[in-house]
Amino acid sequence: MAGNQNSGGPRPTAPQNNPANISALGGNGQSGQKQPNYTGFKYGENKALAEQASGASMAQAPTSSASSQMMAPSGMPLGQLTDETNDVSAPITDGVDFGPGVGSSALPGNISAETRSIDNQAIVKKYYPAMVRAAQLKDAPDSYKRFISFLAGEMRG
Amino acid sequence: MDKWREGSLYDHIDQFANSLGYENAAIAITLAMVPWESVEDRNNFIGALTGDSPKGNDGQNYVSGIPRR
Repeated sequence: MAGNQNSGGPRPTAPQNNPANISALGGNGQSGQKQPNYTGFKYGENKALAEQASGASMAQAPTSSASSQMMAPSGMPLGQLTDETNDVSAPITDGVDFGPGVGSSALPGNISAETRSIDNQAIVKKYYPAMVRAAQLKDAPDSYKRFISFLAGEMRG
Repeated sequence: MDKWREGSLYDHIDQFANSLGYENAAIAITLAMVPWESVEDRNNFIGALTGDSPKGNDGQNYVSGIPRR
C-alpha cells in the first residue's frame, strides 16, 4: 500500500514534545491560555446557558458613595463613649455608680447581680476546715494564723 | 501534715493571702493549688503580680519541703 512517506513516526517539533509546554496543572500547558468560555456543560447546552446568564440582572454592588460612617438605627451617627448623651431624659452616667443619674441599682437584676463574692465564699468554705487544722500546727507562722483568724471572722459575720 | 512545710499548700495559701490581701482569699486559695515547681517560681509569680516580695512567713518556722533554687 502506497502512502505518504512523511506520515507516521515521531515528530520532534510537535508541541507535545516541547518541554516548555509541560504544565504542572495538567493539560492546559500547550496553549497556555485558559478558556474563559468553558462551562463544563455538554455541547449544545452552552448557548442556553449564555442566554440565561445574559438575561439575569445582577444585584447592584455597593457603591463607594455609600457613607462609611456607622449609623445608628434611627439614622443618627454613633458617637463616642465620652460624647454627651442623646437621651435627654437621662444623663450618660445613668446606671453607673458615679456621676449624675441613677446608680447601678437601677440596672436589671441579671446585669447587676454580683455572683463573684458568692463563688468566693464557696471556695473559702470548702477549704476552711483543712486550713484551720493547718493553723493549729505548733510551727504554723503567725501570718497564716492571722489570715485564718480573718476568715473565721468573715465566716461568723 | 504534722509540720509546717515550705512549699506546701498551706504555705502557698499563707504567701498568696498575705501578698494579695485577705479580701482576695478565694484567689489566694486557688493560686495556692497551682503545682508550683519551686518556692522561687511561686515567689517570682507573686512578685510579678504585686510588684513586691511575698508578704507571708519569712521562713524562720519552715521545715524544708520543696528546695529553693
